[in-house]
Amino acid sequence: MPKAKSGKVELLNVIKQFDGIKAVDNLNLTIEDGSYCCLVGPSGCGKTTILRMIAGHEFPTTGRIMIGGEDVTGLAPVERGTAMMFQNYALFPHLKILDNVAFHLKMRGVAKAARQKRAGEMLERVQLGHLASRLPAELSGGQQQRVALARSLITNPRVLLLDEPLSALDEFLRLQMRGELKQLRKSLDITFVHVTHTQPEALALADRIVVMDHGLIEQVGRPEDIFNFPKSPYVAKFMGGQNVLYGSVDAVDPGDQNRITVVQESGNKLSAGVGENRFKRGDPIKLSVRRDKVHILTDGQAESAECGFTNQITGQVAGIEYQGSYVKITLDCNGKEQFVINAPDAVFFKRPVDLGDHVAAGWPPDETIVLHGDKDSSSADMAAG
Amino acid sequence: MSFYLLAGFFALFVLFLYGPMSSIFVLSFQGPEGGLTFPMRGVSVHWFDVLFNSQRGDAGAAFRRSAGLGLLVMGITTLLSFAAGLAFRRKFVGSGFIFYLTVISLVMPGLLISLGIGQLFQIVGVGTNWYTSGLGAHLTWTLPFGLLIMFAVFGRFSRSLEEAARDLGASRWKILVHVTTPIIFPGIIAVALFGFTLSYDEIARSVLAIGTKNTLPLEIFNMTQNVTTPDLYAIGTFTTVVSLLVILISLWSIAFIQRNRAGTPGKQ
Repeated sequence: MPKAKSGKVELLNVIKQFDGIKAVDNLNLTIEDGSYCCLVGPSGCGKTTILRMIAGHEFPTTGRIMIGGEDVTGLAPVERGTAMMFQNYALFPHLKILDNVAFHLKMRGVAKAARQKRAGEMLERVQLGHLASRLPAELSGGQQQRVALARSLITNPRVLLLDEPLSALDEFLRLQMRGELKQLRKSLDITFVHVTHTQPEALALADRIVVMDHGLIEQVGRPEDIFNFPKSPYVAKFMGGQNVLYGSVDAVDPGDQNRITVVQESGNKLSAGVGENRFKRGDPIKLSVRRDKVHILTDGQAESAECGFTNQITGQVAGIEYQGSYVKITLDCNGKEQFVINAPDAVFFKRPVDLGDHVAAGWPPDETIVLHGDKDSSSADMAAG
Repeated sequence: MSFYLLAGFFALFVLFLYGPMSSIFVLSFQGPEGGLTFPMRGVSVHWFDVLFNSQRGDAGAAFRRSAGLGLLVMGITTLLSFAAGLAFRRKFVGSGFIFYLTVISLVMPGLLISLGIGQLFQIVGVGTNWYTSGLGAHLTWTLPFGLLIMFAVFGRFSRSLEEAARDLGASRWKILVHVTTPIIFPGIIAVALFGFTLSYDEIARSVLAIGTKNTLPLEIFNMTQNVTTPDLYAIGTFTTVVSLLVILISLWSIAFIQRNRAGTPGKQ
């Protein structure tokens, strides 16, 4: 199918206020044509408001919204070439599945036979042709979601907007639909904007992730960059898989300005590379390290530098959770922040630890990431898991 | 133990609820020689005949007036409640004030409203009549009810349905016709049903505003004062049957709509 128009979405200095409260605060964002962009953040971070403004169900207080280079700020949804899939699917309960899918064509005045034929084809495409004469209430959650998808796609959108599309499904269906969205994305040359609060969903689907908090964009990037190099403690905690460590700069390597030593409140010292940024002694600093890069050390390993795990932390084992391919070990290090190690199951069972054990954990200094942003929202703590 | 206690209580409840109605129903078929109390002296429809064909009283005409007024009230209540329900979904200037103003007439004693409306019509010089002042008095009772029902109906109505329709290119009017109205239609029928039945058995708001010609409840009330024969019961049976019919028709239309939804629109 040749594409008529570009699906590039731009938000320029967009502010949205509800009763004086800024839901979206001076936001600038470009979503490239044909990309799959996930907006993630805890509830109330403004991600759904952004989606609804792109769709035309909400208008920015100030700022502009462009789609394919055209200013669509004041336009009605139908004039934008967008289609939105609602969180609860919003299928019309009084219309049969076929008529739900044909609704857009009916509104455009397409003759009954023609619109039913096209709706029927669209239903076949989502493998629901056999349910055409059912009512929405007679369908399962997964089927309803596919009907909603078919109903959106029949409008031939250049941008497909998905509001928490998988949140109402159980785990099994969620994974299945995730796969189907990915396939759909491959077969359609349109832009996807997907709002979710589930980090694995964003990592699995997106080629661009926008992490938000309190109406502001905290970080934009490719999934692997967001996951490996979070900008702030907030992103590290929200995206999960990271340990955040707090301390202050103890010393800068005189020979290599890039290398610094950080001292934690406990007196524990860690080494890190700071890249372009320059620190001086005494600066407060936040570090992170991926859970799966940390190893539980034997006494011998802890004392020798040969194994390379020279950044170390000690603590008491407070939790052990078997996760199948890995084991999640939680350490209590002086109370404040918990430290989590994801150990491969084979490694763990070769040398298991027990609740209450005092252990040393270590990782190569190169795996230590310096977090530059300040944002350390507590609202993310719950979601980090 | 508690089961028998509760079962006994329930039996009493049912007895009080349906006992009087059942005895009136049975006694209305009293033989021509029978009186207002048991025992039955034969079984006949004599008293229904008396009711509609006697020179004394005006039960037939009163019933027609009541039915006409009920239908009129039903139509106006349904239309206005639906429109007001749509309007109240959004806050507008004075929405709170208008709402309380509407609900006040539920709280006011019906007799006072009746008196006020009757007086007003007399002073203005239009005169009271069932289809003018009487209609107004009944609407003060049914409109707030209708509005409250619409609140409940719209409270359960998901706005995302309308947004989805808008997303799919429907204009405001088309959203109302193709999405909002069909989905809440059972609620609209409920408003209509309330509108009719509340008006059909209203006494307090009728008594001083209805004019010289009685509605059915007033006619029955008069009969209780001076009629000593079972045609009083016959009228009770008759009105009950009419009310039941109205309810059955409403329920049937709701069921019909639901079935229709599964069937007709867009036959393959």
